[in-house]
Amino acid sequence: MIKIIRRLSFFILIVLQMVFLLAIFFDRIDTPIILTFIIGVSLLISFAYFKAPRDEEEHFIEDVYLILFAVIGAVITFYLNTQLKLGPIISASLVGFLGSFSPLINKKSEILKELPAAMYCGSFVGMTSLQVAPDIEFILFAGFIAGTILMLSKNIFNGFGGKLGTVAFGGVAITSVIIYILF
Amino acid sequence: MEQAILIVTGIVSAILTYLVNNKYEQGAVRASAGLSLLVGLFFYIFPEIFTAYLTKNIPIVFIGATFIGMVSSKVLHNVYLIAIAGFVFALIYLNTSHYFKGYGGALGTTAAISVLVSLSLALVAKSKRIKKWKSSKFPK
Repeated sequence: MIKIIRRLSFFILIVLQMVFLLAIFFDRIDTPIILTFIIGVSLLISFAYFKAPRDEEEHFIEDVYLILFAVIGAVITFYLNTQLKLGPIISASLVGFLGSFSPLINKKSEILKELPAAMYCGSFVGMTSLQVAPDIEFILFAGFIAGTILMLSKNIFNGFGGKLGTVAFGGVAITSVIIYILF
Repeated sequence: MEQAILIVTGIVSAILTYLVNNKYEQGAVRASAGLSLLVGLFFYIFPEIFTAYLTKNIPIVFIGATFIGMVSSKVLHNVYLIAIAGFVFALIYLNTSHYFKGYGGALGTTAAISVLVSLSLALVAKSKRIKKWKSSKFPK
C-alpha cells in the first residue's frame, strides 16, 4: 500500500512538472531557441527523477492534520491578498514567516514541527489570482487537494526546493480542471 | 536590460535563501518567507523607485527563486549549482505559458524544475563516463 501511494504521488508530481513545461513548449512553438531550452530542461529533469537521492520517511497516512494546516494557510493568504489588498507576495510570505515560529510554542510537539511547511504550501494556493480563483470555495477545495497531495508525497522529494510549490500548483490545477469539467 | 536584472534577482535570491537556510540554520520556510517579506514590503512602500515592469516582477522572481534556496544542503551542496538553478528559474519565468498565469504554485513548480536541472547537472558531472572523458582530455 505504501509503495503504491509513494509511486502515485511521485507520478502526480512528475506529471504536474511535465504539463507545466509542455504548456511553455506549445506556447513558444515558433521560437526554436526556447523550444531547445525546454527540451533540454525536460531531459535533464527526467534524468534527475530517477537518479536523485531520496530521503524517505516511513509514516504519512496518519498526518491528516497537514490538510488542515494547508487549508488554513491558503484561506488566510487569499484573504490578505484579495480583501486587504496586500498582494500575493506579502500575503504568502507573511503567513509563511509567522508560521515558521510555530514550533517554538512547544518544541516537543511533532505536529507543530510540520506546521510551517504545510501552512507555507497552503499559502501558495492562496496566492492564486481572482481570475483563476473567483471565490473562497475554490481556495478551500484547492487547499484541501494540495494538503492531500502533500500528505501523500511526504515520502518523496524531501528537502527539494520547489516541492511545496509543485504540490500547491497541483491543488489549483486539479481544482480548475474539476470546475471546468463540472460547469 | 530589465530581463537581465530579473535574471540577477533570481540568482541572488536563490543563493541568499540557501545561505540563510543552511548556513545560518533558520530553516527553509523562515529563510524563504522572511527574505520575500522584506523584498515585498520594500516594493510595497517604494513602488516608484524602479520601472513599473521591475516593481511588479522583481518581488515575484525573488519569492520564486527563494523556493530554490529552500533546498537542503544534503541534496545540493554547491552554491554554484544554486546559482545555476536561479538562472534557469529566471529563464523559465520569462517564458512561462499564459495558460498558468495567476495559478498559485506556478513559481514553486518552476523552482522545482530548476532544482532538478541543477541536480541533474551535478549527477552528470559526477558520472564515471564524464570523469573518464575528462581525464583522457585533460591528463594531470
